[in-house]
Amino acid sequence: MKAFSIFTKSRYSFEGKFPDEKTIKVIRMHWFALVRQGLVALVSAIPIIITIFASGYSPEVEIQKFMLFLSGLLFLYWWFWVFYIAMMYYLNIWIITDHRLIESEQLGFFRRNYTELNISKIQDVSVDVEGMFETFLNIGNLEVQSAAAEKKFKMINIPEPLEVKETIMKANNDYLRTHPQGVEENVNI
Amino acid sequence: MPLPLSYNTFLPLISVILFFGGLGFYWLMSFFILYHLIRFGIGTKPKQLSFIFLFGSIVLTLIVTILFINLNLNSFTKPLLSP
Repeated sequence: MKAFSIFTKSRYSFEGKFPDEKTIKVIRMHWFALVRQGLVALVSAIPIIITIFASGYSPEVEIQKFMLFLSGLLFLYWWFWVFYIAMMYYLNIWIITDHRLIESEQLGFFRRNYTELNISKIQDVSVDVEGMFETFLNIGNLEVQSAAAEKKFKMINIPEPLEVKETIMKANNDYLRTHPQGVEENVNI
Repeated sequence: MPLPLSYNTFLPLISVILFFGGLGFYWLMSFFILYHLIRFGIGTKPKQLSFIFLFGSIVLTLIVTILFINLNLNSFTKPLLSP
């Protein structure tokens, strides 16, 4: 029944969180990354609104009623589409905890990519801010190079990347200070 | 000489298919959105978003249902070919 357990213990609880693990920061893409999709969604609502108004000019009452019904149905699917975009935005997240970095990437309804990196394995963190809007709005990409993994841990279009970098470095330092023996084997204890 | 087909005879049939098929598919997909937002969403925002989505979906479904009821489905019983 785990699949149906929807209520979490606290505000920043997530599936797979260890009992003694503390969530430091939850990061999502900057809202600016949504602007293009938002504009497309707004523009696509225009034909539906036109259909509603155009139905008034229809010569037959039955056609008029049918057009209104059709535009209502189209608006329902438009509503779904807007929230699908919002869902993808809200479910693509990066979590910094006091033990690990987690990337949860939602690629579709039934396609998720879940990557995690132990915070003690961090070697290097780099930030890249490129572009006019990115500079004004303080949006950037952050890359974490780990000791072992070949694949880099990337956070794309995140707000305040330098602050996030500081948070990761602080979490790394704190972990190494409190765990001089290395990686904790069982964090549940 | 073939008799002309009236589009009025097809509209109720299309409407019934669109209403039941369209709404059925919509609510199936809506369940997936609600499930994902509530189960995988972290923090309170995804939960609030799922509530707004559910509320809007119910309101829009009611509107679509009212518009569907307003349609004249009696023409469905008419023969396809007008005499």
